[in-house]
Amino acid sequence: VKLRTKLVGGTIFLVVLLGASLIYLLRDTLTARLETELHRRGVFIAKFVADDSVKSILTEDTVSLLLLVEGSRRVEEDISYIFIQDSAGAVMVHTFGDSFPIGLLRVNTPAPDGGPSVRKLTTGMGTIYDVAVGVGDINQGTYLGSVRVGILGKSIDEGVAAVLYNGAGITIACLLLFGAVALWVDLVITRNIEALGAGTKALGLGDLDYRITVHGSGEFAELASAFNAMTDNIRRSEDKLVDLNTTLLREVRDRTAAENGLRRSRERYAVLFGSVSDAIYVHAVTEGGRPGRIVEVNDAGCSHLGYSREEMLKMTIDQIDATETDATESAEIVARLRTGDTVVFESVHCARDGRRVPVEVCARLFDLDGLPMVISICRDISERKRAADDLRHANAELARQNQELTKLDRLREGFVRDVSHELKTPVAKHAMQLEILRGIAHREGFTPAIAKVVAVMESSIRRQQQVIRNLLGLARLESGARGYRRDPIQLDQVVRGVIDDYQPELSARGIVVAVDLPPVAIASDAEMLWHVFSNLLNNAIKFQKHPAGGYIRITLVIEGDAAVVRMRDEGIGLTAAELAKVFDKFYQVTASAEGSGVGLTICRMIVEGVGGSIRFESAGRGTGVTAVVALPIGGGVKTA
Amino acid sequence: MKTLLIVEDDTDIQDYYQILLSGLGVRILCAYTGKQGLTFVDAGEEIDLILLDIVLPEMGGEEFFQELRIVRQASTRVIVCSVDEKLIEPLRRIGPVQGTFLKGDPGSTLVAMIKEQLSL
Repeated sequence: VKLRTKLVGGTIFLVVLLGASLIYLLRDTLTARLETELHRRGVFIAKFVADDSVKSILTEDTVSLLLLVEGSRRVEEDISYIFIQDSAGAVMVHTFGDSFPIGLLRVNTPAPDGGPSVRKLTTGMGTIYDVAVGVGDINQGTYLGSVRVGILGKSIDEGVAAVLYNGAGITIACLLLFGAVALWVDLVITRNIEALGAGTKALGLGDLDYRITVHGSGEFAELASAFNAMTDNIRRSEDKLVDLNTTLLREVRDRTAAENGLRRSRERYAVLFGSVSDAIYVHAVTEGGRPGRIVEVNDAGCSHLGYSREEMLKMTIDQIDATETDATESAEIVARLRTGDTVVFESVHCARDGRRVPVEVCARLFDLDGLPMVISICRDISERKRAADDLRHANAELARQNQELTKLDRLREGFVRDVSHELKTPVAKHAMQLEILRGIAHREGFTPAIAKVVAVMESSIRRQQQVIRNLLGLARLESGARGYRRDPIQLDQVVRGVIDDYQPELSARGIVVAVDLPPVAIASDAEMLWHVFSNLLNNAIKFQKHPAGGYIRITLVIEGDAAVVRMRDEGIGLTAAELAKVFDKFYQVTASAEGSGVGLTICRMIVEGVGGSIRFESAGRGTGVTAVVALPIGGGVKTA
Repeated sequence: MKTLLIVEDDTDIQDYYQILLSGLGVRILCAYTGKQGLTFVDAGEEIDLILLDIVLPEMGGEEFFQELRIVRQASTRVIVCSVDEKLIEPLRRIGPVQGTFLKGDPGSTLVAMIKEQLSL
């Protein structure tokens, strides 16, 4: 419940309680006082009537009595009635007019001594205070009767009501006053207190951006300003704390990262150090520049020489070094190490069991806590030494074999050359002699029979030359003695050259050659291609259908990145089975065919050797053959 | 008269050359080995053209050509005659060759080359 509500509620309750209590008290007091006054006035009137009625009673002058009571009743407007009784109790006069209320006689009588007696009566006219006073003196035996006066209590009720009204008005006024006070308190105190409370609560919840709105001036405004200033200070302090915390966190993070990095580095170092298969020694350097005590060694370093780690850490490098290095060499190594260089040198270590282990040492000087240390990574090069020895032996053997091969190569080359010479020379001599014969025949008479013999012999010799050329060419190609060139050549001219070379035979056979050879330049080997087209044209001539006549068409076109030569004849053609075998070595289409059976083998070797392809197309026996040679324009010579 | 030296060990082929060249009106010297051929050269003969075989006894055509071109620095014109064109290649690496004749090819080819070299 809000403070404002508590204050207002409590104050209203107190005001109402106080007002009610005050009204109650005033009403009782006033009632008592008014009743006393009414009693006194009633007794006074009754006694006045009693004193003035003595004579009339004694004289039984009822008229006077009646005038007396009527006159007395009219004195005070609140006198309700007056009546007189005689000593026997009979009513002598009264002010009720025609109807006297008999019951009234019993409700009150004078005191035994004749003194006044007051009774409070509740009637239909309201409260009536009935006063009874004796007439005469009872003690002296002169009791004449009694006077009864009834006074309406209306004045008392009106007085009490007035008091109640006034009290209620005062209470309401007090409540209004309180409301005003409460409003003032609310404006001046409660709201500020609440604002302070809200600010404190917000502050307690950590809201440092909360600010109290300052109203006017005074203590609360100062308090609010002080609160805001305090919040500002806290905010600034918190900002500083946040900054400090951020800095601290960053430092902690950096430090943690550094520590983690260092730890990982150490772990990696430990793993590396322990798992490296090379022996690693860290050793001190003496003041004299000599290798000192070993301060660290990895597992490989221990197993390398057969010592335990504890043993190794009590030794110096000199104790495991089996080389007979003099002081000058050691000094040189140390001097190079002092320049910061990594020094690599070979050494020999002595194992615990006396083994001598050749090692390659990779050493570097570094500073460890202010002391010069050397880390030496030692690789067992026993295998390398053995391998080097083996390699030397192998090289020597290889050189010897190479010499043998060179010798064999020379022998082979010489053999091929000799064979070539021995095979070609007789044929050449035959050709020469035949030429002489033809000359003689021309001079001395050339009979048809001689001419035929000469022609047959010339044809036979040409075929022999072709066969020998092919066989030797195959031998050279297979031996690799002849590489392929990649020269810029005019392919059309190569083909034309072949046709020109065969022109005598073509003319003799009556074969027509139609060509479509546009200029095409490619990168290839003209000499080898001459052999290809020579063989193809030779076959086209050889396998004509008839001994005389025939037609051969040779074309050259560019297809993609290849120059394609097609040589189409109208010869005997090839079956599918023959097409599959034409490139086989020593295969001949007909047993009677004259030739070596290697011409097309050579053709394929050459064409593929210059990066091209060759194939034959034929629809079957009697349909002729088309030889298709595709050659890369840019050259595609195979590398060895 | 132009002088032509034939270095050829085969007498049949020598005869062939002589028959072939008989109509050209040149003086023909014949050597059977490379060494004999060099003898003619060293003897100061005015040789205008040499027909050089390659496969020869004592001193082959290649060695003869080397002696001629490299040792003696002679620029005498040489037509190499061989049954195998492969045998000619080593000579080309030694020095310039004015012509090659494959034995067995028509003799008219050789005659034409000789005429050209001797400006006949």
